[in-house]
Amino acid sequence: MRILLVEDEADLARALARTFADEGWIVDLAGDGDDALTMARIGPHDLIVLDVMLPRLNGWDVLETLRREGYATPILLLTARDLVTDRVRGLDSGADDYLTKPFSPQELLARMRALVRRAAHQAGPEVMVGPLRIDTVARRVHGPDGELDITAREFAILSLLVRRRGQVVTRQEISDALYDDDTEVMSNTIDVHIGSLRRKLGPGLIHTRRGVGYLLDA
Amino acid sequence: MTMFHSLRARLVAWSSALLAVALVACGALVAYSTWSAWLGEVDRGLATRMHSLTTAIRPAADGAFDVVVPTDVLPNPERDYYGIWDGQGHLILASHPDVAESVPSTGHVLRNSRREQVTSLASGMTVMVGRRIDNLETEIRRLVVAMTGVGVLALALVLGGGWWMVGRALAPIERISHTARSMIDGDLSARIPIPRVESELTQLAGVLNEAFDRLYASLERQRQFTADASHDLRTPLTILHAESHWALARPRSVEEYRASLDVCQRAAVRMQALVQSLLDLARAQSAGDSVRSLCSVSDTITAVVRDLQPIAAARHVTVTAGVCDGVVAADPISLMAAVTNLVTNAIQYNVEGGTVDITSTVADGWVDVAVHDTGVGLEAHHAERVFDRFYRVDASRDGRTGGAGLGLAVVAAFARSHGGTATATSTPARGSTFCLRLPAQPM
Repeated sequence: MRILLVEDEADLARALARTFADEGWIVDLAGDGDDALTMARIGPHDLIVLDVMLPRLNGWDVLETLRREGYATPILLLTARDLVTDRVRGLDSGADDYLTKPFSPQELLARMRALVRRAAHQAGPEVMVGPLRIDTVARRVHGPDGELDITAREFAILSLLVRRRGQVVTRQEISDALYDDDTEVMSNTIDVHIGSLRRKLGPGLIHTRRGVGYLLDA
Repeated sequence: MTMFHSLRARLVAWSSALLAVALVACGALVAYSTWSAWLGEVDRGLATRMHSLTTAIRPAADGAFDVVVPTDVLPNPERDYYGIWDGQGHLILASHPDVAESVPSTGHVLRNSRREQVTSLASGMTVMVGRRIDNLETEIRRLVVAMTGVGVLALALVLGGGWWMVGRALAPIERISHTARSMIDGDLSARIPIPRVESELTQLAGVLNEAFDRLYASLERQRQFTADASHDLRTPLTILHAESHWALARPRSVEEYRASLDVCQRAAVRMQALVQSLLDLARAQSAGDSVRSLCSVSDTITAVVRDLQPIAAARHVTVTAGVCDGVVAADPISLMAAVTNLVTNAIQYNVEGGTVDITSTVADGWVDVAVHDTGVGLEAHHAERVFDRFYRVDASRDGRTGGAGLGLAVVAAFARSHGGTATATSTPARGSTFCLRLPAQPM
């Protein structure tokens, strides 16, 4: 999962970015409104966490500009003002959720998971795929013979395939969700992860579309 | 508000009552004078007839008399009558059987709808002429009834018209109370609509609207201040929360723990600085007479410069101070905080290797403390607002420059509560001069 975090407080941005990284998410960091717009347009992100009070272009402007351009990725607003009018303005301008500082990081993570779930039309935190039960909160996969031992990278690929279930996911998309832009990705790295994941999950779940990508179908 | 306590009801009731009294008095006067005029006419007629009758009486010898009653004694036989009594009190002649046997007393008399004049003659006889005036009484009654009718009608008109007019005149009061009610219910932007026609009440509405505006502006400032203060506390709190959560989520390396504690300490320092500024501000705003004492301005400046020397040295800024013998009556802690903030500001926004020049002068009953820096300076529109609470020249509120945006607000609040002023003049790229002016105490 790839997150765009827009926050000008350097200390807070760092702390949140590391917290997201602990969840196995890739974080792009923008320090002001202009950068936020540029990075959001390049994308793709599964979610934007957007601070309202930013230098140059403020969070409201970023939000309204993106929505006007037809940008549909979920956006969660962070703000230090807890006036009802602000919350209403944020949601009515196209934000999907709103969190007031100070907040507990657990709550922020839970809301982010919920937003991504909703965007993928997932009913709940647990997803059944064939004989597998996938817990997207605890990041665990249960097979018929008990819990499977799956690495963070493999889980990231699996959750991306689950969110796009029945659709082809390209290797580039998998790479975007797994690595930040500074990492050199070897051409066969994705194939290695997919192969390992296939062995662990069992046959008949992950299908290869040669030259395009992969898809999950039970 | 019951109907009888309403201003409208009382105004209308009072004016109607006054009108009723006036109408009754007028009616009574008209009825009385009409009646007097009519009675006077009757009396003149009676006098003429009395004269005719008495001259017609010819006394004879041995007490007898001889009378030929002329026709003009009874001009209207239906209503007129007369009677003549002899010296012994016997009725000797009467024009009508109703005339009483006994001798009436002399003079004018009005009874039983009759008016009579009675005269005693020198011969001892008594003569009476009279007229039935029941027709006049009927007329006067009719007049009173007619006037009562007109009066009641006029009263009803005044009641109804007055109710309507007073209602119209008092409508602004209704609007004022309606507006005040909306404000109580939380709509602080409500204002009284002012009609085009000028009256005392529209003036009142204008004055009230102005008061509402001021109240609203001051509440709005207070709300903004609270929002800013809470924003500046929320951000470091969020950092503490996020950083400590990350550090505790799983075992980290010593370097990572050290970096985390560093971040937490920075957040704590920011919160402490803000809380200190808020306390300074509260103290500067409310410094009453009880905490004020005579302070030497030069002693204060010297102490501040000594305290800030390490910060100035770290930024390679030279601080010079010129002293004077000015004395002010001030809260010493707030005075210290104000001067400290001015000098800190001058050091913080200075260029590396710049200077801060502090001068103090006494003239015309004022002590002026001017702090001149060689920093980046301010645009004119910033210089105007730089004393506002939480005003920052750089719009981003990241606190990287260290201040909470309250330092100069403390200076301004201190100056205001001590009867002085705080001003800023600046040339961009050349530097700024901040001046604190306080009333000087006589030596």
